[in-house]
Amino acid sequence: MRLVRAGRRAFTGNADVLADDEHRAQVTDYFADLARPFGLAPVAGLSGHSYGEMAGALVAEVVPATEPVDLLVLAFSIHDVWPGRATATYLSHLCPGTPMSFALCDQGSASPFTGLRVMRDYGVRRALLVVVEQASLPYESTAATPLEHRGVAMLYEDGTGSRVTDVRQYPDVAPEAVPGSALLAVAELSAGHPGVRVVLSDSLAAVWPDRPDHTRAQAGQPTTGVWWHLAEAQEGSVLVGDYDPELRYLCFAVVAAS
Amino acid sequence: MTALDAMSVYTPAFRVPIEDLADPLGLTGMQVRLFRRFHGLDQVRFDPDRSPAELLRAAAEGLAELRGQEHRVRYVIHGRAMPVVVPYPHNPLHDVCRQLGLAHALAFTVTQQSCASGLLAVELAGRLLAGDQDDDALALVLTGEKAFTRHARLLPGTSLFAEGASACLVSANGKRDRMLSFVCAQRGEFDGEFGDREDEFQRQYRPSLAEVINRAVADAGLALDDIRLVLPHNVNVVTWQRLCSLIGFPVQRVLLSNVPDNGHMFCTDAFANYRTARERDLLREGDHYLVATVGAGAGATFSAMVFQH
Repeated sequence: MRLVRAGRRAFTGNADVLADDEHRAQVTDYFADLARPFGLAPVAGLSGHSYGEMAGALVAEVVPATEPVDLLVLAFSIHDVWPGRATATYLSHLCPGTPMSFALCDQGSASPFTGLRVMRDYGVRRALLVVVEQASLPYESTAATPLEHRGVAMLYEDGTGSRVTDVRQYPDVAPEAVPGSALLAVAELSAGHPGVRVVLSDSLAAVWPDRPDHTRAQAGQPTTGVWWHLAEAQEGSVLVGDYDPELRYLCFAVVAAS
Repeated sequence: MTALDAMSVYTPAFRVPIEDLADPLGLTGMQVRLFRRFHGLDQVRFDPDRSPAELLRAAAEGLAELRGQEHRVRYVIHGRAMPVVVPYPHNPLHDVCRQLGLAHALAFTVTQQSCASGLLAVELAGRLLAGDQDDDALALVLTGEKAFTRHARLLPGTSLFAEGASACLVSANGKRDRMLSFVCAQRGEFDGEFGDREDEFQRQYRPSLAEVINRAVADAGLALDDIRLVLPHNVNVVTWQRLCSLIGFPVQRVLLSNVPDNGHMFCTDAFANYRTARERDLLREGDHYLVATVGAGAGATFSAMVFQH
């Protein structure tokens, strides 16, 4: 696959859909039922963003009508404020090509890497990966939430071209085992790509004392952080690495100039 | 070729007559009678004592073929209808993986095709295994979720959701229950953002389902007459009776007996119906069967998959 276009965007305010009283009431009930078995109370004043709105804006930015997409993968970790929506199915209607669409989640920061892997294994002509995270939870929680609502969309095409992608994922890596695995992975993925720019998440850098020279993704954006930088870098080779300390996934992907 | 090597289904013993759901769901007597007499629903299964993780684990622990093969499982995929089922960052899937000795596997949930997400999980498992360098690798596909809120308990005027779970070992080259085709058509224009299109959705429901069924059969190199059995989603009986009239397929070859017995178990229907088919010896070696489902809610996904037993 080659990366042909990418877009990134931060979103402010709340989802437009929350301005609808009926919808707001339905969502409030949903989250109350969701949180109750876990002993969590809803917070007053529902806020946050919708992945349908965020991803919809990114699709419009990245996919022109002349480039129909065959596969759309939406990757997220923290859920959004429209919990019952089949957002990927909705996006299929918005996206040129009416692509096969689904969401990958429950995998922390590994989900976007799995998205890339799945797109590669489908072997379609054109695929879109949309990575999103929003910054609000509608119930009491001590969990860290992202600092901002952010999304990144990356359009990939099959075949040879100027940029190719490789993906490595290592499940169940203890923090103390990260440096050894990461060193090996970066060495293998960098081979043949002189001058590759390494982008690491703050969570990976935190458990890798002897990490190589790198660009540090912004802290507080656990799912979109490294992809935000990839979307910015349109020239040269880029290797992104992330580590999810809760779920213990160590992941890398390289987008390399050939 | 993607194959289902082994399967386990957990269906809770506790069942509730649909009349008992009238009050909690705010259904009128007429609506309940419609569900019973017209849609063919009778009882709905629940497991109030099991959490989402415990539901998945109950299915996986019934999968005897998994024992001793854990090291071969490279992927664990939860096919789930409801995108959000626990508060963040709770993660029942990874809890279950650790309990089953599968922490080494790549585990994730695939969703947002509503109740069609279970078939998608099988399809994804096959894709990942085909791309894996290890020919011996396996994937574990899980389904199962709680009917924890009104949105997850009632498909207005259509069906009532039930709880259950399944665990399925998938391989890239197994000899049993080989997947011959998969067709999926998504209709995002039925999302609520585009207004209330319920009537239009109901008009297009059966033709759209018929289309993916016919395409899946054709892609498998078969004719509809070659299909020994259809394993449906348990949305209701009348939908399948009418669909059979539309496509000219005998409704007697659609396994509908679990509709009144179970209710609609989200993504688990296909697997529960497969188990019933095996228990009743409805599939012989070499038979072709079709699994079909519709993920309906905000938007719609129509899916069909053909297997050879």
